[in-house]
Amino acid sequence: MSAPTLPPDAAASTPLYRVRGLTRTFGRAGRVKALDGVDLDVSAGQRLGIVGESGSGKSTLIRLMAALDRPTTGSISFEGQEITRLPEPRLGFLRASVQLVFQDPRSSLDPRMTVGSIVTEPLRSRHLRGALGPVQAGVRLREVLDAVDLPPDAAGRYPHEFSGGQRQRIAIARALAPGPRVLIADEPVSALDVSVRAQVLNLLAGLVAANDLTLIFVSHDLAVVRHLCDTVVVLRAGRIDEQGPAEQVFGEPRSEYTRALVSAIPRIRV
Amino acid sequence: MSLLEVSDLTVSFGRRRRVAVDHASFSLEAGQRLGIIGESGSGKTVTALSVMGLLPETAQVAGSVRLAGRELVGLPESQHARLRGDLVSMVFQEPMTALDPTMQVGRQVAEVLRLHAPERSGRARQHVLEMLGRVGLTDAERVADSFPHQLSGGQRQRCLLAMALINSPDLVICDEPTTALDVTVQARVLALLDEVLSAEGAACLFISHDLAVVSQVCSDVLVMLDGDIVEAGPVAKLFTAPEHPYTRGLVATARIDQVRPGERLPTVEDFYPRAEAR
Amino acid sequence: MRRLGLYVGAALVTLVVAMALVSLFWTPYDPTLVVAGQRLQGPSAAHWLGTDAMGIDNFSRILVGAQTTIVVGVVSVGIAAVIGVPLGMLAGQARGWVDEVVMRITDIAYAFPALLLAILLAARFGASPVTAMTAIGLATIPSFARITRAGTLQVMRTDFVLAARASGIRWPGISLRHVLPNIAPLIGVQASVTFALAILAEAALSFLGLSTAAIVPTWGKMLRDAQTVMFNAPLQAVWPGLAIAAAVLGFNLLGDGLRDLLDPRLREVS
Repeated sequence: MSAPTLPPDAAASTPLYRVRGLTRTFGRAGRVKALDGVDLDVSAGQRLGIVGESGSGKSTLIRLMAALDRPTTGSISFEGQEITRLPEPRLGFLRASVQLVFQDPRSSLDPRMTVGSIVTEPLRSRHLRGALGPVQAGVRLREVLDAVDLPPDAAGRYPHEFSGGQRQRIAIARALAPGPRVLIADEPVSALDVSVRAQVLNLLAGLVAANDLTLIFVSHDLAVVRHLCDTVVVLRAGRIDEQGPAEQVFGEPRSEYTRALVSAIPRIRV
Repeated sequence: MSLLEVSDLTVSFGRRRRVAVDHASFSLEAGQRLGIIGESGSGKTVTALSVMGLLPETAQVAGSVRLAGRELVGLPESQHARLRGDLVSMVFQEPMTALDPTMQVGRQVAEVLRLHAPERSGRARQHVLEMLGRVGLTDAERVADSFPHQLSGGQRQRCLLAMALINSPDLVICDEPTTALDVTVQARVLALLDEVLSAEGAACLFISHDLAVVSQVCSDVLVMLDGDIVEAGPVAKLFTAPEHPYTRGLVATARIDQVRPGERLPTVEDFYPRAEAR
Repeated sequence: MRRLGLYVGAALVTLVVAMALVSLFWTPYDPTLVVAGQRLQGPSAAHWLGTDAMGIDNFSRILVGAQTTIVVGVVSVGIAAVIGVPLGMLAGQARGWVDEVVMRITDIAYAFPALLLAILLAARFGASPVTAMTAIGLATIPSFARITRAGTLQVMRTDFVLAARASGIRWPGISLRHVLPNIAPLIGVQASVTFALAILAEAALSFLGLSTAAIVPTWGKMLRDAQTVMFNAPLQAVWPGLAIAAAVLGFNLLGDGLRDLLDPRLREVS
């Protein structure tokens, strides 16, 4: 395993994502600080794990990175271009490159759409039509369904006809459809039965390797992050508590909090 | 005589009689802690609810569930209700929805006490505060006067635990009690559960999909799959030398820390192939 | 049986619609034909529901009255839905000051007495079914807007909308593909309940003489005619009363039944 372990300022080339002083507050007079001065670099091909407990700001961070929300202060640049102040019509380069997989496929798949229209929906976006040229939606649909090990006839059925693990595959197929370079996965297996988690994780790992994807993997499950990611950021109350190569963060955590997190991982005790 | 004896329990639902639990038999001794492991739809929660008598009306129950010698299948609701919270109690997964949002938690705990032990209700508040202290809530006074939304997830789960234990039940059923909690809070709640169950000498039926969590609380385990108990035995034996292929798969997937990073994870399918479409 | 209400409602609604359709082609007698010698007869083999004060066959008038009832219901619900649904979707998607403005206007409209509106319209444009329908339609816009906004907010919070936004799908696409299909059942229920309300309102307006021109038979107008002979021929009020009650009950039961059928919280239990 070659782990491109990049301390933030040692990256020679421009990182894919460059996050500086990112702060997002909610509520009146900004009383709730969801994110508080986060600095973060993600380079192409990196597999970054973001761990933290509920309320640590994980979801806020990835929403900002996907330009689904605007920060209160701070900046995010993607491929050297500042995205936090761009209007939606000019975010095409980001929309074409960054896709998300959410926690619960029951909520992330529209129950009233067929699998085929769900998976090809990203191709309808004006940005992607522009970026990809006339896309053969049908061809692409078969390709991505095949990539996630779903039969081609799945396209005509509805999400509720599938099991939880299969539904998450559909969500992954949708994320792959526009041919992204960055995959942001927000707790993609925590809503699934234990018995199918490993399958979905193997699938994700395989797709990331096969397509040279940059992976940003959000999870509260440290064992999974350790397995899948080469670098880790530990978030606590909106701030980065510790970051570094996965082996180091989990093997020899420097901060008190990370140590507590690591030791709290439930282990089989016999 | 065992504390809980379940024999040939069969539960089916609806007009089509979809079978959720299929001829399940097991027993639980006083003070024993038994884990039930299974995925969603395996029948583990339905089994627990039939002991609690909390199955929906559409459920048809056959077989026998004996708690402290008393048959629970077919027991009228009014009599079953008297046992709940007294002889047997339950801790639910989601502490936010299991607590009444409009009532201070202290009063909610006291209500359980008054219902079943009226003779102790004169000093109810004192009992409640003592119980909240025993479940590790240091500022019991403040917690008792708080509404659920003013407490953290861990505090709420401790309050539920206090409610479940205040009448010193013989059996506590925990349905995924830590699934909704953060890992550090989960670790603390599990340690606490272990401690108070020992102190109270209560038996426990612990339902979870997480083998590691079960192994920290229970001495024995049942593995359920599609309504059947496919394997049962002591934790040590089941986790080190599982017999049923499905159990072998579960144990293998739970040992994610033993797989080198980047390598393919073992899946249940590797051991127990079956059609995924359900 | 839990769905009894739904079935009874559907049966009553079908009956009313069938009466209206049949009356387009056939009625036992001309519903406007005055026969001087047959005034206020009781039910008989020739006249199943008897005749009214002008000797017109009551059964024929009831049949033809169903037409007005259906037309009034469809048009009022149509006006309310066509204006209320887009308003609600706009408020629910735009949020911020747009939401604020739309909802405050809705609140004010909600507080305006519908009857007063009908009287004002009748005073300005003359009493006719058109003014009655317009008044009922306008008066029920707020309830459509409110329920649509609530449903829209719910849909907008789902991850599938987030996934669509992350692909660069803009609001028209989100509205048509995600919001509208998912709130359609909600709107259907609202339409059914509003239909009942419209029938009742039209009957009341007819009764007050604010709706129909003298010749067109409607159930409300039959009630008004019956009033003058109430002590001699009480049955005259019973027939239109029964018809109105059946139609209103039918649409209400249908609406409630649909609501139960579609409410996921109730469905999960079964």
